[in-house]
Amino acid sequence: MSAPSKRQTVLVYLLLAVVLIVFLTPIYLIASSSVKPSPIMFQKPPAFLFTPTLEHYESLFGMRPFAKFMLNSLVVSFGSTAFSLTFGTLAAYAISRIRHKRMNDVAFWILSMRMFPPIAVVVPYYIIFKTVGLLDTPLALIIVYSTANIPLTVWLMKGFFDEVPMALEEAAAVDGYGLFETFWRITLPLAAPGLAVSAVFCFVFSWNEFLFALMLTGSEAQTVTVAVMSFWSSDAVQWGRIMAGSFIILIPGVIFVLTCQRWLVRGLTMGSVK
Amino acid sequence: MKHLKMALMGSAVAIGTTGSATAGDFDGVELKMLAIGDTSVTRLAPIVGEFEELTGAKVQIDMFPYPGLIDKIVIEASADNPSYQLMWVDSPWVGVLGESGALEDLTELVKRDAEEIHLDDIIPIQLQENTWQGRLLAFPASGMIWHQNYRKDLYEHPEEQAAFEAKYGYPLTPAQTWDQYIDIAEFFTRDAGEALAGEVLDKPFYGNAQAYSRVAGAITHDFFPIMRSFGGQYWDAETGLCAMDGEAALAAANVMKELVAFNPPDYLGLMWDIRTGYMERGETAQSSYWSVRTVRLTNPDEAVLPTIGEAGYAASPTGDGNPQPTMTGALSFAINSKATDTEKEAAWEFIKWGTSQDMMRRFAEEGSGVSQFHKSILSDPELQEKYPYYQVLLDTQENAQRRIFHPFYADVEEVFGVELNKFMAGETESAQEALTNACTKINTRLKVFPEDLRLRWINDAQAEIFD
Repeated sequence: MSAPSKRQTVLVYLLLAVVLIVFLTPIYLIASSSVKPSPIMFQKPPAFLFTPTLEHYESLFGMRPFAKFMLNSLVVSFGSTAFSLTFGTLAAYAISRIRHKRMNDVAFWILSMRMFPPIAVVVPYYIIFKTVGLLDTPLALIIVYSTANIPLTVWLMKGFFDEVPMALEEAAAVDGYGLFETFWRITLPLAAPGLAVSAVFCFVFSWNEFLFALMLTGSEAQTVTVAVMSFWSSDAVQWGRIMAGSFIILIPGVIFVLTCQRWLVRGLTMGSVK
Repeated sequence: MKHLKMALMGSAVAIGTTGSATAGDFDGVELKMLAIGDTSVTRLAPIVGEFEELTGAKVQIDMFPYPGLIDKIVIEASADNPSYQLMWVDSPWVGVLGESGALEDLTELVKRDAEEIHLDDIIPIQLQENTWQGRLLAFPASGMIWHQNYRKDLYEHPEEQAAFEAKYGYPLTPAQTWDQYIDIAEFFTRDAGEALAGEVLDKPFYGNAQAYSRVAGAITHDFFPIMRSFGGQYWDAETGLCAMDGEAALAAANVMKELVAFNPPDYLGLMWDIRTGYMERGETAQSSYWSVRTVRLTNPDEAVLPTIGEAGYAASPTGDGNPQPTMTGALSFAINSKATDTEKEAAWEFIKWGTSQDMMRRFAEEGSGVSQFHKSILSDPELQEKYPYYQVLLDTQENAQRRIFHPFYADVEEVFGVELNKFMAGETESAQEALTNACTKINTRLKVFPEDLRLRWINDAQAEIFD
């Protein structure tokens, strides 16, 4: 295969530049609007040169306990991700390894848990959590998000476990490994990219979720998505504060995805080539 | 015994020398308020400690987004032993919340404490805004009034005045009719490079800024005041079905369509607050909107206009041959019907405290955007000097008409929002087609219900709070 010509290289870079502009423009707009003075927020044409202000960040943390809401989101997202990976992975391993004619039905039934429209289950959830005293607690959201995340994890991880050759587990058994030891020391490390993919999906879903967070929390367990949207009131949409909050919200997700990136790339492409 | 205690407590409140509860009346009572980050709430939230000192009741205000809040209220009110005893309510919600039984009837409490709350000083339509089937379900905390804002400095510029009169044959003053409004919009629409009040424009200037966005029914917020100004009604009084496709609605839709040419190019996406931004930056000659945002036009920290020109204020224009109408709204506080008797009494005490004449005057003096609803405050000469639009708000209450309060109000905003937006974008041929489509969709949903129920929903009976 010959090296690309100079023209091809330029074209590739141009294409990359276009893609980058498309993806980075919203982030730029969020970032610039978060430091733009309110009176010129929607000026046409947009003001690119202006004296930046931190007023939106100051009011974001000054008017509401935004740091607490961030902590709530982190607790809920990491909690649900950990819970879902633990139970979803074990369930996926069982479904992958147990040979039974109805196992596909079981797997589909698990996936169907994710098919409920959230609005249909929000009232029952509210009543249940109200009854057991979990309303407005992070635990309530961890449970709810896990009901959506576990089926996803099961299906993702099942695919990864299916890819791990049985011969490896049989060899481990010959070497004296028990079932759990085989799973823990042999199979799970080989399916690590799947764990990374599942973790990212679980985390991003939990981090961004709005409806359940709105309905099932008060001031104690409120998450950042609800807190940021709370700057949408009847007399004004305080875009500066929303943008400041949105920019901060982006950070944990980006860090989490970058942390998982090494496994993520392999996970997303695993099995695509024989 | 509990009822006796409540009665004594109520009496103590009613006859108290200070006009409010005394310290310790509600010791140990904890109230939570389900609210949004509206000015009426954000002004109050930092000072709830004062209420605790006064009464012993502790109040916590939780703020949530406007979208979805009504659903949260309905769910909250469906549970016994509710988490929230106090609710923030937008006046169009009273239909939904009244029908669901979520809110406590405040009629008797208001009658009981009429003197303490200065009932005679409250603009009646603001109370009517919160009335459902003759029951007062919420109490105003910020009274919204739809009115017209304009560039007073441009309207008073001699060159502009002369040019306008030469072109249209009558003097340039704030529009009283929609025809005049359109003339003014046309006159002031200028391209970059043209002159405005003796200065060459470096960017376009617009004759009008109006909300045409379908998001959150924004276009309907601008459409309904115009429709009502032509004498239009929401509902057919005989059938309870949609009447927003008649002549008045047609005239209103056509006025909005004519104004398209004089709006900023992003008019189809203009929501209510982005629209007000054009006025606040001084980039449009006129714009009508709710009075909750008007205060910004007096504050150079929040708007550009005070530093480059001056805002003027007038009643919203009217359709030919109709009396000058005003569209009102109310952002209000209410009590969860599932709260305990003690909580209800403490919650009412909080509402009285947070919306009192003294508190509202304090907010006005501090420069709050809370839209006032006490006649004495709106007519106060010192405050009128600070807020020149107060007199307009006061004057325009006489012919005031309340907002839509039907349980299907959200459907109306959604359906009319889409159909009107499509008409303005040129996707629908005529106003008649757009309005007929909208009414047909609404009626399809309404016809599921019996006529007597539909007629009950449009019943605008007043609460019996005035002697």
